[in-house]
Amino acid sequence: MPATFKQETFRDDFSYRNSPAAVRRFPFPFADDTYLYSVNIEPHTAGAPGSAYECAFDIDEHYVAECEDRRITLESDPDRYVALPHMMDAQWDFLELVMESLSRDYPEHFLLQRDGTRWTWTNRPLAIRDSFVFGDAASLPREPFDYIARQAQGDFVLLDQREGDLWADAGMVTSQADWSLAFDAGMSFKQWHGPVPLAHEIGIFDRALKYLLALRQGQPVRRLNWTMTVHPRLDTAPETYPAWGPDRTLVTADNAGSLVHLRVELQALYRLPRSNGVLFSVRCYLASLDDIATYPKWARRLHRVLESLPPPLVEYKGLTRYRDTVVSWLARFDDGRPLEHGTGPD
Amino acid sequence: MTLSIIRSKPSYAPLAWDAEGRTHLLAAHGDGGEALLRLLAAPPRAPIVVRYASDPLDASDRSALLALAAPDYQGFDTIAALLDDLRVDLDGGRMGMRLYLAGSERFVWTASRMAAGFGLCADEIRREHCGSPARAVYCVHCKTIAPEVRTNVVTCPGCTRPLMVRDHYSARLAAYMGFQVDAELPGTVPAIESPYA
Amino acid sequence: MSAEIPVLVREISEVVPGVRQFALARSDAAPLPSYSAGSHVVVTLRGPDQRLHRNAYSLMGDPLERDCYRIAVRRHAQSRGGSRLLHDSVQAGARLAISHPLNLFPLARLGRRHLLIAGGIGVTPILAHARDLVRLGAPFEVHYAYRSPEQSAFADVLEALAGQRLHRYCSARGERIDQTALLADQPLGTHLYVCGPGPLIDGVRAAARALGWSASHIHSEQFLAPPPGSAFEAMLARSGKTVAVAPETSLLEAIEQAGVIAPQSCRGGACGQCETEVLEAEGRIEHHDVFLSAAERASGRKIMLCVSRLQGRRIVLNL
Repeated sequence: MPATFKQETFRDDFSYRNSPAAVRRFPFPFADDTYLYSVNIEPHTAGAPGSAYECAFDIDEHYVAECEDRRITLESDPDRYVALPHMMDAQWDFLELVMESLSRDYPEHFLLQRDGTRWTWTNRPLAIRDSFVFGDAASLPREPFDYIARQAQGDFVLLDQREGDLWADAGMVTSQADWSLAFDAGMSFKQWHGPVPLAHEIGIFDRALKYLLALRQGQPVRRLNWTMTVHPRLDTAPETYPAWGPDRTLVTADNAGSLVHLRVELQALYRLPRSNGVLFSVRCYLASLDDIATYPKWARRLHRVLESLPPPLVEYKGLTRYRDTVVSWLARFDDGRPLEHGTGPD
Repeated sequence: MTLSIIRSKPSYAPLAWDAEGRTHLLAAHGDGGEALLRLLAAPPRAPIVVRYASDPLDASDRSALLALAAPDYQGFDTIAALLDDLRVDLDGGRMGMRLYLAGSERFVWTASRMAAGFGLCADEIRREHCGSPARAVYCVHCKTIAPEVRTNVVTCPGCTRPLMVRDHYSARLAAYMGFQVDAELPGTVPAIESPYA
Repeated sequence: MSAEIPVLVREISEVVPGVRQFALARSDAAPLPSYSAGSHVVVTLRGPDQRLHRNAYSLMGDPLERDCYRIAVRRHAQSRGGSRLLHDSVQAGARLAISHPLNLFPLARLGRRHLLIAGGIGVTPILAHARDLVRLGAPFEVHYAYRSPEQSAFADVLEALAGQRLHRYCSARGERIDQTALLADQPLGTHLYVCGPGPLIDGVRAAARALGWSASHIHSEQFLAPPPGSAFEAMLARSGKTVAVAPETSLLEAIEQAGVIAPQSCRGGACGQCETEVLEAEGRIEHHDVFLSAAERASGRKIMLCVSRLQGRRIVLNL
């Protein structure tokens, strides 16, 4: 649990940096030398102490800066937050889950006091303290999902379960890897996954949907997803593509180490109790290639994964322009010797 | 941004009667009239209501044929008038009804969204895309929708960016996504083709 | 499998002859998880012969009441033991275990109108639905059929919630739901929910389909107790064990008693979790679930462990 939070930016001067501790706990996603699609879901139970997997919703040294970046994004584009009218129960489910989790896991930063339906929420890092009536949206400064999602790291989508499918009917999405909530809101599971190449052919989404429809209360699950970003930029939405798209042409052999970031999404899925919906949380972690190279095993593994990545995936993940430069940059760390299976840094 | 094959592009089958329906509401625009005529050639023994908006650019006048084929027929001059009437039909509709939609993609999904507002689920609605493959395109940058795009790249009527037209479709917006095609290297716009003409 | 919640029985009340309401609180007095209307929990209790009984019961209380869950249990004379045990042996203070709530019978949130039909003890999830619909301010009607006024469990609670939206049918007085009249004139966007004995559910579903209601608007829940049958043997190919399944024991129970963990959840043939591959069958599979398709049943390659059986000598499972 971080004692202090960094002052840094995810845009403009990009002052974001990872401390050595942050690099060490980075959720490196590759256990093998090649990357394969799979449902790759595991129970979202308490992971190793200090790791990104320890708590339900991970708070790290970037917490305050990330919340500020979200605020800036929402101010210029309020449509990064959507909540269809029938999702109010799900909104309260989400608020309860996040407040209970954060106050339990980080008691030095968050406090939740409850007296029946009269709740008081204290968020020390953001200097917030609000009393409200649980279930009465008017008693909060913003509606419940909007209110608490602005105080958590990562993106969140609330899915409605009906007609044998899951529907993206509410979302707070400001750190996504290139998909538009404004466009995708209201889509079914397979519809919003439409653009993902290759996976449909091997039935991944059929299996994933069936699995998620049966998700039980008290048994959340998690998985990892990944891509790469130039500059530690959280807002890489299609909406702002004209702002960050040109960055892809900036990568050179000299600057790749500091410019190119591995972007890992720790995704968790929870059954929501009152609405019977599903919460999909996407917690974004950014580490520069320099950060990754701190651990030779990671550099070697990333080199091999990128080198062997199938062309449709290279294109889908937006790596086309700079993949070869990055592969060359990483090559110096790779002695070609066999690496152990596993994602750990050692 | 990826241009590979996308599974969120809707697919359609020729309209066919749902024998389990108790009443049937058919609504079409322009070339969609063809699909309705085909259906009405072998109707089930059940109440059938037909609502049709002709396209002024159409050479053939299907409205006359439809009026003959359907006992409860009403014709409209514009899509807007047809949709206004559909709203009334749906408001008074009863469980057991099936809705059949045929016409441009934008018409079919706009009408679907209205029907969803009245609580119809996917198993009560059948859709056929007839006629022009022109696409409605939603600019993800300025959120304007260009209603009838025939080319792979279009200048956004809202922000003038050159937009690549993707296959990723939103039923709610009744439009395909468009994003700035030369964002990474301004000026590098691919050859303009007309795949949706 | 969902981790179980240890609870104790806080209160028992006789609702009508043969129906008892149990109020269950967490053993550690912590708040119970919230839940959605239509949810049930599986209650585990150990009988005097040390055999484990697991039955599903709808949560009929108010989800805002986090300190206890309320379930209603009808004492079945032909019960395999679970409901009889709960009535005859369990007293206030008794310790049980329950699963986390699971909802296989949720409300359709986008419905414009809701038609609830309850038969007998099937009123319990319907009561939860009615309470939620009042809270959401959505239009609804409840039609509650029971044998006699003495058997109309919770009719007073329903009346207080639904007022004139409640319609009662006492079969002893010859009152019956006119299903055709009820279903023929509902506005678009109406959803139908039915819970009660099998014949009621089958009848209502058939009437709705005959009137053109599409499947996505028809919702039902039926708590199937695993029907008994003849004894047979189950060979578990992967664990190498052979299990004798007694007439009164379900295939799932026999497997669990042998110490093998099989996937399961609702234990009533509805949720699909216990679906298992059949490698070989000497005999005929008796499918009692509501999950597999007709084609899947006919293939003989799948079986729902919790309620289905073999009429024959031996079945080999991929377990």
